[in-house]
Amino acid sequence: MLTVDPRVLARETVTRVVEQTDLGTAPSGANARDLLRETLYAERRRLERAPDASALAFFARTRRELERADDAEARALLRAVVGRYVDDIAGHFDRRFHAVATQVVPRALGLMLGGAEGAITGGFNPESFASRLVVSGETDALRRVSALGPVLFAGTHASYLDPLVAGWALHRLGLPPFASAAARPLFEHPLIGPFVRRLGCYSVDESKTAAPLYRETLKAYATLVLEHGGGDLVFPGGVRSISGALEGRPKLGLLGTALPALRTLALRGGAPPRVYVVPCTISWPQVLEAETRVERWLEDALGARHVPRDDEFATTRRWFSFMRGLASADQRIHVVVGRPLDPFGNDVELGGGGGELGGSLDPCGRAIEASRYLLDGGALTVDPPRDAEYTRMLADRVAAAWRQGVVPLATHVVAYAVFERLWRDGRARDLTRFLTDVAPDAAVDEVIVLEDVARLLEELRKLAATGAIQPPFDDEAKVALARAMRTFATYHERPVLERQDGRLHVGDPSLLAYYRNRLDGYGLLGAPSRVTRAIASATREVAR
Amino acid sequence: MSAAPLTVGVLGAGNWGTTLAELSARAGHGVRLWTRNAAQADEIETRRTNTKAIPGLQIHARVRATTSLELAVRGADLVLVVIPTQAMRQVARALGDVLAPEQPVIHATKGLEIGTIRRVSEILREETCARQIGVLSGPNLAAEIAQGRPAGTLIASAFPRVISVGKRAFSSSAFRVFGGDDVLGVELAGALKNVVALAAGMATAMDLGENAKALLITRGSAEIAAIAGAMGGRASTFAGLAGIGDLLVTCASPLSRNHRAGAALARGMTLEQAVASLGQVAEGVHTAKAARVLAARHGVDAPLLDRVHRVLYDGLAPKEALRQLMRLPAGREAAG
Repeated sequence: MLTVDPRVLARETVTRVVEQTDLGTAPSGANARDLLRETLYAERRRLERAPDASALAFFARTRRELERADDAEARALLRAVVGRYVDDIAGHFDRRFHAVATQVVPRALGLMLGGAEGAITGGFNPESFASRLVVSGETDALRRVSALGPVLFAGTHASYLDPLVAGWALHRLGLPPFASAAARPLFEHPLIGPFVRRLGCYSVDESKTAAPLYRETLKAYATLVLEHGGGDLVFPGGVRSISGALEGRPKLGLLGTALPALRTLALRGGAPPRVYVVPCTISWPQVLEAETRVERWLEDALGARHVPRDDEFATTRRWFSFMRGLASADQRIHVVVGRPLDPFGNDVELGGGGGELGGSLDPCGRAIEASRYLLDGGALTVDPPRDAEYTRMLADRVAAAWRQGVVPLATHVVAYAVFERLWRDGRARDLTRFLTDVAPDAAVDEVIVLEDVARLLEELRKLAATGAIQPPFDDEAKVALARAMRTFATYHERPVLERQDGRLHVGDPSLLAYYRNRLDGYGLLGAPSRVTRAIASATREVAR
Repeated sequence: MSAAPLTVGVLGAGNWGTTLAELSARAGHGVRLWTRNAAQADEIETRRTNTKAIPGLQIHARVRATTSLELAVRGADLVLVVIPTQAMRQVARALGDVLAPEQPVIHATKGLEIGTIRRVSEILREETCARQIGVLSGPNLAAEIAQGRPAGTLIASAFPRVISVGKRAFSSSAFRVFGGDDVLGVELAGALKNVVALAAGMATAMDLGENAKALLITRGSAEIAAIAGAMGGRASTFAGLAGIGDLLVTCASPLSRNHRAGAALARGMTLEQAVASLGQVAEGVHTAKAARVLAARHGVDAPLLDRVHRVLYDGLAPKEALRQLMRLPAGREAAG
């Protein structure tokens, strides 16, 4: 558990980034001057889109001073910029958060999921909320390893609410509070913001990640959290999924904090160092921000014009109707914990094997000392290309675990069945044709949908038996269809599907695709992946 | 980087393993050459020869032979694996017992595992803790290199350190070692070229002329590149040493096993007869199956590789295969 004063952590972060730059061991390998120049350029572009007088003045001054700065002065400027970023990332950290977190977490989440009105009027009951969240998977393994070393908990990302759900799952497993990377808007939200600050969340501002120094500051901070023994909850997919599909492969940024943390612990000597990475898949029956996310996807995949509008997250009315939707269809949010890995993506000994508990295992189950991967010429070294490649290997394991952790929920199953039926019958060759010609005003006979859903559930059960996915939550086609239709009708502005005269009519083709895409790429109902392109563009995406 | 000599563990004392061990010793490094054959190890240690693998080679004193995998591998700065593909998994599993996580492993074996269609680097990943893995491949006839005649090769790895250690271990004024990072492309090129070599052997035996042979080699190379490209390899790899370079030397050498097997088939032998006449199975006979599976799996049209497969396994006459190939519509060349 993290025991350090957040202000100390902030100071150490500045020192770490400056040191890395001096030694040329920063992930980018760039020197102070180049890092500053690139950062200033990225900030200028960001501020053109979102002007901010104080930031503009600060960066303009930095730019002027950098032009005539000698090396020592450039270093001081670097320190100042990193210091500013640390404030930005960790400035909301409440010193007392550990003391209060255990009481705050359930209240904040209850507020979110149990209905805000109830919580405000004091009528919130944490117990009723508890029943809405299902935590499963390798929970015992997670408890076991978190007693042995810091855990980087790596979740899938669909909604700004993910850190709260995952944080609550950790709390319910009886684990000490984790530090958590949370998106900027979470901190600024009128209802949730005050709680988020006290949860031990640090902020990740997607609009700043183009600046190399921001990225390095964020990484250094998150690495130091682990080095001080704190658990860290991150969403290495980067941005919330825009297609509704699972992230293809996580980015290396925050996932790459486990490796340097292990090296620091190894350099301290003593007991064999341990740092764990635990993948986690969050399955939402409906997603708060689905409508604005899928608009971004259409923009990327089809070149549709993006009409900016407020994220659902910022709209209190949408928030309430989201809660009502969850409640009315008796929906559950599923958190599936994956098997703990070491920072290189190796399995670890969980008991019963020959190795020491928590130690790393090679693919054949032999005990190995993971920190040795960092040895070169007998010394533990920093080697950015090598370490990035190791983290890529970890990322592959995390991505595989995420896929195995998907819980097919009624909305996904029904959307998938209807989408694929329309795609085949409408002879859609590509997504554009499907969304513009085939799906609008289309309808499918309910009897056919039930048959397709039954077939899909059967395929899912078989797939689940191999461990490739979790078993479908609803076992019966009728139950699944009824639950999906209730959900589809309650929350979204336009119903995804509507029942009329024994037929299901498509109300919102893009949301149909969004919910369908959660099950993309498993080859279900004989369909190939239809979002590969969108996944590729999502990884290119720089947040706007 | 320090200039101190390296310790190189070489697993496999066949002609290529022995040659690479010799190259490394001549470059000043200490080599431990592992073979499971005690008589062979004894011959190297006492007489400094390895007659079965490379007749006539006087082996350098810095090459020490051993039958202990542990002695060969423990503490080595680099482990080089040169084991026939179909024995690779077994040796890799044993290697996993003695290998340390930080040790770089380079393999110089061309082929795909029968049944699983696994590449050698994948087998090493599955059976050991090795992560820093590389592949060495190029137009390398062991006999010429052992004689000190000029040659070049490629080491591909996602880890720059593997390439730099590999370069140090084997480079000399007679042996140029280039670096790259397309491990998958290099491994597929090295394995699948054997199928093209079979076709080139058939062309030679049918006396079709040099034009026809060049046509087969070039189109064969394009088909291999298309398969590798669909799997994530890079086209430029096939223009390099491990691609067209290796293919040229394989198809130019009438002594290569694949070439001879192809020629035997073209002379009217069945596969069984061809294999019997060679005394051993040419690698391309296995990889023709793998090539077909991979092409189908990744939706790649590979008519030449497909016809070689049919000649081997469906009794198609080489002449008929050629006629079919020549009648296919010829599209844009770059389309593969």
